[in-house]
This record gives sequence, structure tokens and C-alpha cells, in this order.
Amino acid sequence: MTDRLQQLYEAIPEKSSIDGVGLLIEKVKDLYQVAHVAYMALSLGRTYALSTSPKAEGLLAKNAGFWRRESGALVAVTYDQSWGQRYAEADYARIDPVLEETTRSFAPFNWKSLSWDTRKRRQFLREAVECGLGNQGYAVPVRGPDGQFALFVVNNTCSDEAWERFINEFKSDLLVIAHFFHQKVLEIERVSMGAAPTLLSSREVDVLTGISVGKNRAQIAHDLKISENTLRVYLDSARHKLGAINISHAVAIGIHRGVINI
Amino acid sequence: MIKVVNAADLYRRPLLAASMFKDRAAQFKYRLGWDAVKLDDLGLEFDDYDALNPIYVMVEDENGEHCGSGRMMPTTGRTMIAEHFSDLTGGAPLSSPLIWEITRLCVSPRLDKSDPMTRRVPAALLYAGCDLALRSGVEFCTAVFFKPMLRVFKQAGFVPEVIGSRPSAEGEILAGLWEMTREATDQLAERAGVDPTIDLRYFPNEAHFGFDRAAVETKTAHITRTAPELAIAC
Repeated sequence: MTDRLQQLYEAIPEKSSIDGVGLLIEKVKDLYQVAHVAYMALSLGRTYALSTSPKAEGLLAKNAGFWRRESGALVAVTYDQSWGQRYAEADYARIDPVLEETTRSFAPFNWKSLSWDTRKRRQFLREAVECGLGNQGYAVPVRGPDGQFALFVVNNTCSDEAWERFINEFKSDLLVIAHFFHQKVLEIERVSMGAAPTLLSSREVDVLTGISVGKNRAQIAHDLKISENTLRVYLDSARHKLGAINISHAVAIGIHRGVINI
Repeated sequence: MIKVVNAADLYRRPLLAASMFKDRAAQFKYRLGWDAVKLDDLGLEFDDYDALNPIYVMVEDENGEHCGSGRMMPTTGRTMIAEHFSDLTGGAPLSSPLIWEITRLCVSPRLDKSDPMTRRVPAALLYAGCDLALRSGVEFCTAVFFKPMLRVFKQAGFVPEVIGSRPSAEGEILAGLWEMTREATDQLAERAGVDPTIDLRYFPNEAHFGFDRAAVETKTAHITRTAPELAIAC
């Protein structure tokens, strides 16, 4: 993970709202210097019905920032609305290789690895580029319990080599950001049903508490009689469960929710 | 050959898929006698997690039959370690997009144990899993296994850190943790005799293994499936 996640953390608005999360998509675009960023929730699990949820409709109201409904998915995107419209009109969900690959595998992938060799798919890509998308893309499928299914995409215009380098440098950041968006949407959409309990293990609480009181990692690992690698795993798992973008964020959320006491 | 195969692509290699599920039945049900393992009407071992779109790392022989495999899943979704072994990870399941789980690590019990190629299968499987994880940006993998597996991991040169354990009727159960690093993955490639420049993520890409640069004779070594003796104590 890189320090850009810290910059993204600093950009998170204090008050949690879906609009705030939508705005962050623009921040990701700026921080990582890519042409476009998109998060698409295709299903939030059985307890949420995106197509009928009044809350989701609320997101799509006027001035709702980056949120839209496109081809049945709830999406936050930086690209122009014209592409979403064209996509729906042409029913591109049927041939979109990015979407297809997302349903097939949970591993992130470079768009270049997909099969673009049919006439329809080439037409699809050409139109996407005409609507302002770049020729390169990287997709992170998001899987959660209960059938949750989402897709996070970064898109850019550059050479294959430059794009490989970009992916290689930021692949862990992008995994984290993709899931952060997803967690955030779940958290906000879940409000009407009561907050979900965050089930941290005693180990996760211990390591997070250690960090929050300013101990260094070696010291915490020593106190808990675990290795620093194990500590990193518990810390990262706590971070993800709290819906945090990095450890500082996890500590802030942990204190706010009373998960850790200092 | 080593391959990385999405569950959704298994139908494209029906013999490989069927022989994997059959070998898993032989290994986990009959050889190890795990009570929780259920077989279907055809005698294949296929569980709930196989239905959740996992990714398989697989080694096949020249006939396209299964020699060994492992199953990878992200810990953000349902996992075996979360649903059955969370007592081994501090009381609650680990969950992060940067942590994957490996389960059903299996070397075909039908392989000839004395064949040097057989001994390379675990390293080849671990190599494929690590390479996939590393290329995906994943930082750690976990697995739950019985204590004798430590010997297999040691032989493959990739020993996990044990983060929890408990006794069971079938022996001591351990939860292990591996950090994904390029150095460790390259070492596994060396052990398994794989060309690490092949990107196995993109099916049907595949890689040969078992080739020593020095020992040319291994180039003609095939995995034999003649001996009925069970290969590796998983």
C-alpha cells in the first residue's frame, strides 16, 4: 500500500454521507492521476434490493453528485453521463467483457487481458473511447457475504507498459479502495436496518488499541507474543472490518465506535 | 502443466475437473477420513465453497488428468476458516481484500510417491497460488491444515507461520499464515522448476514445471500414475 491512501483518508468528509462517498470518487481520480474511476454495485446482497430501495432512489435525486443508476446497477462514476446512456440504450451489459469477467472471477484484471476480438466488442470499446473513456482499464471485482457483488474500475489513456507499471505500483491500494467504497455504501444503506455489529476478534482489538496509544508495532507484537507479520494481518483485518481506508482511519473509527478504549 | 482455473472455466476441462473432485474424495474422505467431507452421487467431493466461484490452482499430467490442486478464495466473502475455524484466528474471522484463503490443498493420492516430479507438486501449487495472489495485490494467505502438512510445506520451502492451533479427534489443527513476497514466490518457482515469467492468471495460459536447468533428463520425466500408494500426507 502507498501513502496515497493517507491522502485519500484526509479527503474523507467528517460526516458520513453517500454524497461524500460519491465525491471521493473524484478524489481517487485526482490522486492516482487516471482518466476515470467507477464503482458499480450490482447487488448489495439479499437484504438490499437496489432496484426498489427508496434510499437508492434518493441517491439518484437531483444534485446527488456522482451517483447514478445505470443498467440496473447503482454506480458512482466520473465519466460522462452520455456513456451510461449509450451503454443502456445498446444493452451493452450483454457483451461488456469487463462485466463478464467480473462475474467469472474475484481476481482483479487488466482490461487488456480480455477478449476484445468480436466486432461488437470492438464497436463497444470504440464508443466508450468516443465518450471520453481511456483505452486502458483495471477492474477489481468485489465479493461480500450474502451475494454482494460490485465492481471497481480505474481507466486511463496510456501505453500498455505505463499501464502495467501503474497496476503494479497501486494494485494493493486499488483493492483497498474498491472494498472501502463497497463497505461505505453498505454502511450508509444499512442505516434504516440498524447498524451492523463489527465483529472484531480480541486480537484485532488488541493490536488496534496498541496502535491507538502510540506504541510501535514491534512493541505491540512483543507484548502480544505474536510476530510482526501476524500483527499486520490482524491490523489489516480490523481495518477492513471497520470500513477504513488505512490504519489511521481504522483507529479513528475504532475510537468513535467505542471498539477500542484508550 | 500448472494452470490457474476459475470455477467458471472448469467445464472447459471436464476430465481435469472430474479427476480433481475424485482425487479430493480419495484424499479427504477415504485417506484422511474427515467426517465433515461429503461426497455426491458420483463419488465426487464438491462442497459449498466450490459453488462460490473460487479459483483453482491445478497441476495436470500429460493426459489432462489431475495431479494436484488448491482452492483460493478472498476472505471478504464466505470462507472455510471464517465459518469453521475462527477460534484459531483470535475469536473472529480474518477479513480483508488483502488476505486470501487456500483450502483443499491436495496432491493426487494416485501419484507415484517415489517420482521426483510428485515431490515437486506442492511447490508448484504453492507457486501458482502465490504468484496469482501477488499479481493481484494480495499481501497474505491463510490456510487451516493438520500438523503433518507442515512437513510438506517445509519440503516445498514455504513454511507458514502458525497463528493458532487446537486439538481434534483427527489430530492437531493449525491455522497458518504466509506473507506473499516476490522472493518467496521466485524460490517456489525454482523449487518447482517453473518459468516465473508466465502469467498464469489468464486461462488457458499454463506453465511446465519440473525442469532443472542443469538436469536435462527431467525434461523427459512424466508424472506416472501407476502406483496406488498415497503420495503426500496432507
